[in-house]
Amino acid sequence: MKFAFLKKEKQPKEVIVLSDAVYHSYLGEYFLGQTDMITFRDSYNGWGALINPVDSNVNMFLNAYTISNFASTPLTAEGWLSSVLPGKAKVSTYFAAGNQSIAPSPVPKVKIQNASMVSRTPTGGTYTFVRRVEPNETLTKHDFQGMYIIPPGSSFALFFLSPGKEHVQTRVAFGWWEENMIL
Amino acid sequence: MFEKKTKQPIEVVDITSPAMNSMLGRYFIGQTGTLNFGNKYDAWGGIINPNNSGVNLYFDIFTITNFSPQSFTGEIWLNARSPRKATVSSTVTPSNQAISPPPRPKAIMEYADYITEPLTKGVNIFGRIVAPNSTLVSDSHRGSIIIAPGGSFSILLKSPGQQNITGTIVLTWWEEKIR
Repeated sequence: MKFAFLKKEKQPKEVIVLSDAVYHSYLGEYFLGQTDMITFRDSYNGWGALINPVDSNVNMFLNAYTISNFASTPLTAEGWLSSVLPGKAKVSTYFAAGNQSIAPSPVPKVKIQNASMVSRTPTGGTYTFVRRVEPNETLTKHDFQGMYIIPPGSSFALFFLSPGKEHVQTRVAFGWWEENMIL
Repeated sequence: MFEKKTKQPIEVVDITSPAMNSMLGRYFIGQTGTLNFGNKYDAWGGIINPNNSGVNLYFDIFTITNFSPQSFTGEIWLNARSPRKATVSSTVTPSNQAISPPPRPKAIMEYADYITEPLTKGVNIFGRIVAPNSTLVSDSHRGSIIIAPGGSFSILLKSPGQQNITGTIVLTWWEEKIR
């Protein structure tokens, strides 16, 4: 990394660039995790979401999501922001801080939840985007770098539409960081 | 170009953390041997940070190769314990081949196939479906997953059914001394 052919005053400084996600992992504020298996069929749907509790006092910055479609039919996943999600939610225990060198291990405020076999659809919020997921594939969307910012009492959800008779199994994973709110 | 000189941007060279650590001889690439599994048997490969290593591992990229005509699921685990029959991989090398003698990692890569017992300890943080006859390459984590001494980063390849499956795992990481 020498620029010997340039005059000294033209030699640029070398800097190490950390992405925002990596920086927040160094601080112990970056988390990764997944839902439990989400199952549905016939007229029932399912969803997986990151839910920021009302009293969390943090904003959640989404960096990545993945959708694994274990079914042999394509799936439609709808992205919903800040909606109220139907059905009985299950809170996931499959999560960890990206930085495992901090003791005790940091615990996220945001919860990963999912629901299977729900009969209703999300209410309120905004149906923001849609993704079609091929059979037996993991769709990955990385490096949002905190484009989706979810405040306390709000959520980022992937809502799955039942493709019909087939019994569908799918699983959602997320990477995100949390920043304390300035009061 | 009408701005005052003090307003001019400065030129910088943008070096990523993986590139920087490779220059310093701290970036390593490890590959498992051929992993045979399927028909109720799973396979596993990972890097272990020994208790007394004095370094943290900064995880970067994984690849999972599927040599078979059937897809399977790879489960990504943090801090799982190695299966009992795990063997140490010899195909581990620094990415910077210009340093003599070659730097050696403190981390140990291990792998095991035809395993039946579930992983103990640790947490399964996400999973990937690996398509038939393909190599899945993860995005660069650029050190956002940090493994302390006594911890591990590993991937469990799950048997998809009756078929026999052949696969391999490659992991890349760098190591920094704990201050």
